Amino acid sequence: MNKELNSLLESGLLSVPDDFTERVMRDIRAAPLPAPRRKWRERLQWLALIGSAVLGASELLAFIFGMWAATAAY
Amino acid sequence: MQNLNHPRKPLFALTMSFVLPGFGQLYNGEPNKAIWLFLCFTLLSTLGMALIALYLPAAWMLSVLVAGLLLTLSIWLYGMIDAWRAARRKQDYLLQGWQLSGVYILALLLCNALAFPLLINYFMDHQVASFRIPSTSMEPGILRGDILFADKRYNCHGCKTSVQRGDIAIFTYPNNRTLYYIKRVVALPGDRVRIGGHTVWVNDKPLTVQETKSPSGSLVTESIDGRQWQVQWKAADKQASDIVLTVPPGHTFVLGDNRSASKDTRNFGTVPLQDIVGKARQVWFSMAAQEDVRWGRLGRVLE
Repeated sequence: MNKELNSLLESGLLSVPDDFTERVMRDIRAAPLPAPRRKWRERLQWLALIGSAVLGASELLAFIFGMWAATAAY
Repeated sequence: MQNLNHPRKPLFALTMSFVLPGFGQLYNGEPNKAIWLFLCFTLLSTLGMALIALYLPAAWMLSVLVAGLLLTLSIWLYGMIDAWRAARRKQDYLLQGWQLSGVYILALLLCNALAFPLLINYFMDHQVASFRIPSTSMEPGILRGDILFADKRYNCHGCKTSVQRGDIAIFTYPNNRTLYYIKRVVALPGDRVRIGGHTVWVNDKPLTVQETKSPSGSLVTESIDGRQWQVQWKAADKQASDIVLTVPPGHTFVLGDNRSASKDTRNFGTVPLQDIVGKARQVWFSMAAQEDVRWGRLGRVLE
């Protein structure tokens, strides 16, 4: 193992391309930033979803089981 | 434009798909999947299967509808699970241009508030509807507690089936148009009807084929136009006065099969043809009050 390490040290340092820094910074800038979390906005979204869920789910259930809902015939 | 990461919330996606199949997929930025899921749910649902069932033999109706119900529930469940799983994978997510709150609201309104109610109303008005029988007026053929499907492609513009003698018809009660009644059509416009004792004559031909008497009453087999059914009379019945009439144009003469316990044309007069809304097709459930389910009656095709 020492021989392998010694041969690595003798081979010299890696040469960094000239535009290396620019390329790295460009990729970092392109990565999406985390969206600012606003609690009130999230709460509003959940409120809207729960409100629509009650109405929407009832319509959905009426659609699924509507065929089976029976009217009285005397 | 600055790119912001909006990771998808799995519980949010699941709830959206609970409210509307495909809605969670829309939230996850999968519009094509959302549309296909919604279409599959809508077209392969109970309503779609009802349409198929109406063109199959009546005996197949209940099993096809049950299959349709299971398929509908499966697609609904699949949509929720898929939305959850996809959202979990999308923790690095850039919103697409169309993912706006207004788009979500519009999709929900169009589908839940418009498409679903229109579809269900169309099917129940024009294809098939379910009716519960709370009376004994049609015994022995239809029992109190039966729930049956009625074919609505009947007695209407463009319908292939018109009202025939012997049909078990569902109609709007003439004296209270908020109620439906179910009785058997025994005579059509222009027919001469005579009822004397336990015998009904239509156009001078008796309907009675056979009468079996017992201490409690009699069971009469009637037949007209190649169709046959059974009616019952109670022995304790007072002999009603004979009825002789000609059915007016545009009207029908209806009688309950339980002749001693039925309010029908003998009581409220002839029924306008336009008030007949459906033809009883098949029993899909049967349970008398505080009793067990009458399993033997499930799927029974009605004559």
